Amino acid sequence: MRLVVVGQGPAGMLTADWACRLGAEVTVVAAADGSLGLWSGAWDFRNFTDSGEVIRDPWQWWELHGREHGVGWTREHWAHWWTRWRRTWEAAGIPLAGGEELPSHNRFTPTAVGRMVPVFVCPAWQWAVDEPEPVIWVGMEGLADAPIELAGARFRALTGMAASEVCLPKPDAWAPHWSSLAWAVYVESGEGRRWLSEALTRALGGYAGSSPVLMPQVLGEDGCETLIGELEAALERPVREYPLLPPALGGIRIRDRWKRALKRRGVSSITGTVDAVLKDGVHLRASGASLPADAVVLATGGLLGGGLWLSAAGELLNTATGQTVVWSGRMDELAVAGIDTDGTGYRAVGRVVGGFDSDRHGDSGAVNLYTVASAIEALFGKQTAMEGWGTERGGNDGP
Amino acid sequence: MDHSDACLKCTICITACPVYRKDGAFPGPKALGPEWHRRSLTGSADPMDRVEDCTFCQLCEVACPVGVPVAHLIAEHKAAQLSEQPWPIRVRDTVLTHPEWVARAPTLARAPAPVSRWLRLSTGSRRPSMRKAPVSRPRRTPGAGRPRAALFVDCFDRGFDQEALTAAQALIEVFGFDVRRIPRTSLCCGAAAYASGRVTQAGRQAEAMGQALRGELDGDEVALITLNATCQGTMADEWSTFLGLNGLPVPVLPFHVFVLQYAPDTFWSALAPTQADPGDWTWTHTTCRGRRQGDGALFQMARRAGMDQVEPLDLECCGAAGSYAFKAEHAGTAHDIGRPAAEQTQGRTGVIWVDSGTCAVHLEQLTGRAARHPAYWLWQAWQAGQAASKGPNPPNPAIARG
Repeated sequence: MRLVVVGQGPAGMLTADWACRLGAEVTVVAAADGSLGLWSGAWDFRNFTDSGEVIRDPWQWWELHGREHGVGWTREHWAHWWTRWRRTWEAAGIPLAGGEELPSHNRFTPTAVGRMVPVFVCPAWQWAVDEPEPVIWVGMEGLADAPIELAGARFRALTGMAASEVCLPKPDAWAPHWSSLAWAVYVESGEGRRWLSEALTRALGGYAGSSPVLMPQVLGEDGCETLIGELEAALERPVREYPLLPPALGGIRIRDRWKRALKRRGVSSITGTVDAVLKDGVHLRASGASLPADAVVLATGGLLGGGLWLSAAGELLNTATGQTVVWSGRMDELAVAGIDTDGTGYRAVGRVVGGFDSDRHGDSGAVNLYTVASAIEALFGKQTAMEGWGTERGGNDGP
Repeated sequence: MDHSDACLKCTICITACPVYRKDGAFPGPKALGPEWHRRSLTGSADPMDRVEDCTFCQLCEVACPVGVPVAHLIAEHKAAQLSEQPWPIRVRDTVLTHPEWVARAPTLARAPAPVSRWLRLSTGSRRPSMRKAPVSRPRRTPGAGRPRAALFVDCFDRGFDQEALTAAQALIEVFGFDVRRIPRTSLCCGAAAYASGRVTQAGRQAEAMGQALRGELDGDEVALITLNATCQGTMADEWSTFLGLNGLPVPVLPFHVFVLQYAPDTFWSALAPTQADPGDWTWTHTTCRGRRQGDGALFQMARRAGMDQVEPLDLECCGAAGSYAFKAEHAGTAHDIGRPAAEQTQGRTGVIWVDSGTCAVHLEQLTGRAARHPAYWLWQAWQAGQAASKGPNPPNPAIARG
């Protein structure tokens, strides 16, 4: 099967990855870079009820309320896809917090301003805990995105736990235009590693105990795990990051590692805008060329992609053309609805699909997972989607 | 330019910039492009330090979610500081932005060390040298009824790699096409000048090239096939979008796109692996400018050609960026950007398939592995296949005759 995936945010990458593992010849067409570089990398299951209360057991929530949202998956079904997703990321070199088992409940992770928000799974470099505990909150002079005094005070007020704030003086190489990415580039260099290790050892010399050290998310890119390991050995306490405003290092690490893994398995990519889905492929706007495809998955939603938008009146709009997209209105059908063009269907995946409201409910990971898995089931058949992973092409992470 | 003022300040462009990832003092595409542009609209367009350190790889533009021509705004920004450059650099850049001169007189690339130092040419970056051994190609007379294709002679290959041109021509003929190489005289599409901020000069060069190509194309060619991603992008995209010129009457296609589309199945099954040792690797690298056309086609081509172990290089840009690595002030950054290729290939044997001549020179220096245009490697595989099918007998005279 020749599959074209339009868009390269989390949902597009996941679709491309899984379809390739199940034997499809995949081409990703994207007009821009996707939203991964703007996002820290946390995958939420369901964080808040409709009225805004924190959910501790998202498994139970979906069991009780999933059907109201058009999702009829059982606990086993969710577990199957969460496991597949975890293996997919681990195969791409993205380590996840929490060990081998899927979490039984939501944990908490910090924001840059000291709030603790629920999270289901996040990368291993990010701090996530079952219950808040005393911490050492580190910031750097010249890194405005990490206001540690505000964060420390807020953390204390909201959790009742102790927090010490430590501000490292800026290094000689620092320049006013440094974003978190420039910090990360420096910190990963030989000079930067020495600076960080010395500055931290000096600053934390007087602190007894073994409270974790929370660092702003600037601890390098590919060398992030090595760097964290070195710091933990030097400081003799856990070191983790808290995410910052975009550009988000967490998402950049994930994007670069995942793209590399997909490329090595033979997934091609094309820069361009798809303006029509036709019987035998997709039509590209700028070049006027057609790209042959047996099936098309649209993953254009995301933060910046526009793509599909569900209006308050329940109308599904194509944000590029402003036109209404034909859809039955049933949430459970949307992800696999087969939206007509010239009679050819395509499938829509991602967090803006359907009646989900991920920004409010904190369920973007689950919505991505559900819509992508539904598309995979529709393309390859339910049996292959559940059992076909043993024949994965180029993957060594089969069950 | 469309969308010049559309920047959302999302910062995706800086995450895609290869220079920003290596050099903490580089302000990055957002500051040098859209932010400088907004200031320039209010009359305060003083050029910023380091603007000339942009490689013009255009990965920022590929990444931008709202279509801001980030790199082209930086080229305008570079134009604002041209008059401030010391004059040895101006002399050097006048030569480097006229690769059509270098193609006519390739010995210019061998400037002796004192001259190089005065001109601030890097003495640490390898310069191109002429590929001596010509590839043999069967002579063919144009046949009635055969489809036609034109092969674009870019400056680099005209001056330094006639082998790649001959190999490409021979392959396209094997696919059943009549091929002509154009333009006959050495001209430049304008890419090098645009990258250095000499936008007016780029327009003049492009116009002359366009005129020559239109004169030499009959219009019934299936495509104008290029061996250089930068020239392809410049002619297919920049001429109309940024230089206000008409496009060409036939599609301008990268060689590997043409091959994947037009090579018959019998061609692929007739190839033989060229690796000396079955454990050898084939690394593929789609150049930064080639990425606008997409990534992965080179990899597919190497796989389709039967190469056993194929791996893409973990690089978005190798750092060569046309003449960027040849400039003394940029050589360090250029080598830092390409270094992951050296780490990736370390301890393994193999060759690199790469769709640009200057990138090939740079990657050869960094990795110590032979890096050539895919047309060259594919032709080797075709010849190996022909020899193998003939067993101990001499190769098919129709193929081997020079």
